[in-house]
Amino acid sequence: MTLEDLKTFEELFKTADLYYEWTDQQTPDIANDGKMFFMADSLFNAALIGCKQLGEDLIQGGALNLKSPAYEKIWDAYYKSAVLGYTAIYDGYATDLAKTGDIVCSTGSTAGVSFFSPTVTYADNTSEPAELSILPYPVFENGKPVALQRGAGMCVIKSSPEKERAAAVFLKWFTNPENKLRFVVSTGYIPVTQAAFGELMTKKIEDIEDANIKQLLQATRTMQKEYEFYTPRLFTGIDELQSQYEAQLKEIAASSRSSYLEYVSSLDTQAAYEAASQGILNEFIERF
Amino acid sequence: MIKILLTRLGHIKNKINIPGNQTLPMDTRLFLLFSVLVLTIIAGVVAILFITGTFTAGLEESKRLVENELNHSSSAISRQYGELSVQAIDFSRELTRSMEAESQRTGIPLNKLADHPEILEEVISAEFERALFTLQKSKSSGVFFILNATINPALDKAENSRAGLYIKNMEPNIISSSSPNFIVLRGIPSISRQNSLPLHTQWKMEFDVKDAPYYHRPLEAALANPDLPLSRLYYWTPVTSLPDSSEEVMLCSVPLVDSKGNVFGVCGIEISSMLFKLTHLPDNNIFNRLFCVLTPLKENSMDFHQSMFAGGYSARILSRGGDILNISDPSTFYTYSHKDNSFLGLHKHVQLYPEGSAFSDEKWLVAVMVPEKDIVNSITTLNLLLIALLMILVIAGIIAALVLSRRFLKPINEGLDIIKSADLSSAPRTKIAEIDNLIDYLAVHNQELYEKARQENLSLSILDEFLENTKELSPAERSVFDLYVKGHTAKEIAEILCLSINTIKTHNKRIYMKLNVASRDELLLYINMLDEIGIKIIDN
Repeated sequence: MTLEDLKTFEELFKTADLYYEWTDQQTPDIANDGKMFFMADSLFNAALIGCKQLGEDLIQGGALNLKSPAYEKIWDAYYKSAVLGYTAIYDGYATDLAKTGDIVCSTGSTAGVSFFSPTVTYADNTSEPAELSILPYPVFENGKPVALQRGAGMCVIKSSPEKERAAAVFLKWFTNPENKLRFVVSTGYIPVTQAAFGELMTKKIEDIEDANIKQLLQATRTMQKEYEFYTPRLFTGIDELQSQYEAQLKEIAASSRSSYLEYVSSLDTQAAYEAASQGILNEFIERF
Repeated sequence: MIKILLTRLGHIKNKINIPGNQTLPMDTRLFLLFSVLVLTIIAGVVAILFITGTFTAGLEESKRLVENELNHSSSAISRQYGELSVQAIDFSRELTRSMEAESQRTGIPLNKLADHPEILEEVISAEFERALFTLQKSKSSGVFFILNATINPALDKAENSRAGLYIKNMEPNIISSSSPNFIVLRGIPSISRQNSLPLHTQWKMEFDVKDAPYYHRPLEAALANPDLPLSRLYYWTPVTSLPDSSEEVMLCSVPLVDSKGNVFGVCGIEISSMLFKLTHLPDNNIFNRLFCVLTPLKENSMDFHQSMFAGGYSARILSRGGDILNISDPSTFYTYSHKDNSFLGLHKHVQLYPEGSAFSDEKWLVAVMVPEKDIVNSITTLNLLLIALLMILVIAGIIAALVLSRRFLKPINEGLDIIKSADLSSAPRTKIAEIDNLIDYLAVHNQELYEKARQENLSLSILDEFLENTKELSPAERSVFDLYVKGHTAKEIAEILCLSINTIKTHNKRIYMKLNVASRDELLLYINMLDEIGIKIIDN
């Protein structure tokens, strides 16, 4: 396997499968103790992008559209991988699991880059240096290259004219390409202006000392050229919907994982998975 | 306005300097008088300002401000550090009590944990809630405990690696946050995951205690002073960063001592530099760069590298250099200086330890200071303002003197012009009582003088006629007349001229007739009148 194999989600989950098998084989005495490979930082964002890549919208009319063929593909990818133990079901950021070697691959926000540790520490307190590779966001096979552009942005609160003006002056300074790039290099957030994203960033990338940020900006530059950035429409209740979706999906995946672990002691993996996942998608859809 | 004033003053100067003009006009005199008054008053004001110390009031005001800030900061810091010390001691007692109970259950003494790394996760996990609760109630930025044991004694780093737990509150300044931002800096990851807390970016599983005074000093103090209570064994580190961690913190470490006196670790509470800054930010509108420092005192100097700061940016710039600041004797302020920077301020000792503490020889200061040039600039600005105000007062005073002197004299001059006029009785009023009275008086008095002069003119014409008539006297009559003028009587004249009295009488009659007088008395009256006006009738 190479990093090239992580360009699509299908390949990524196939890699996860292989990684699980390989790690399982490290301890021949213990069955089904393979290790997780992957975690998506936000399952909601992953579903939003996945649907868009496959030509659908996850949200229609302010509600989740979970009955599309596109969503079924996304469900299969995440749910199956999670139940089989290839993907983490974790209520936190992937970087936490990466620090302890519990996963080796994740998708997430560019700003997450500064949270990766250069060292992986294992449960017995042994540790080893870790090198981060940053790649463009994976795309479902036969899907469009789409990535998510989502953030809180900045707003100026109604105040005295002086303060409002001062806020505007600050934002003008802050979004100036030179300053923007300094911010990008410190935080991993991507630029908000074409000028900062363009030639200037290409020039500056070579001078960046932090290898992770350098890789991040190179990947971002590629994505800016080759991907379509999707900014979902915000509406009242989207945050609550996101929380609900992620909590329910993790709960149902964790529950199926427990069932699977019970079944797998007596059944083969495929049969155990089928037993654990029977009717679960419909049950999940009915929750919304 | 100034131009007009200068022109007027030029005129006045010319008037004063005119050669041979020995008398100054009244308006110039009055202007000079007013000017002297104005300048005297201003000089008096300046003298009073000097005596009352107004010119140095900026310095005093600055001192008062810094004193207030120092009092406020030092009491707030004493209270905060005192409360956290007590909470750290309570944390130590609670941890020890709980862990001893667990120790009795497992049968493994707490001072033997190092021999049983396999139970460390369970021991630490059991105290997670207690640590989190201490963090929640303490208004601190972190809480930790370190056991004298490591989960993997086989590792090379095991000698300086200690198991424990360190939880940080990333937003300690937000009171009663609905979603507190707790994060695990040190600890076994499975414990943080069980409790849904994320790992810090600079997370490590265990504490590296190779160079960790927060671990060794209270531990050694407890071993060296077995009879001292925990309240005399806690230790506040100067500002430090944990190995592989970037945030600057102060830690209050308390030894963990079981009921048998075995020292088996330390625990404590953290104040991050950010929490200190947010808690003790000086509140003033005068000096933007005023800042508060909590610093260990070493031989009359302070090490900014080991200090907490709250306030201006200058402090942060300086602290990066890790420079030692020397404290010099106070005038109004203490001076805190090193080669590039100089600050003025005041400081106070703060007691971080009680009497009898193992660390009572560690002295701490709270200082409030400002870059020296800020105070100097502030006082210079204030005094320039004061001087400008005084100059404005002087100019305004001189203008007022000029205007008032002219206005005051205008009606007087008009009055004088009126007085010079011929007809005072029909002269207009000046509305100045004294001048109007003078005009009235002069109007009446001038009439009297006129009448008198007229009368006098009349008298003079009679005397002239009398004098003319004397020229008509014969020589013999003239001889008699001259003797009358000299004051002789008729009898004396008869004797002097050797004439009979009858001859004299005859001469008299002719003299009276020629001089047109009726008697000798009238003749003598004329002679006296002529004498009074200085006309000599005869030559001596």
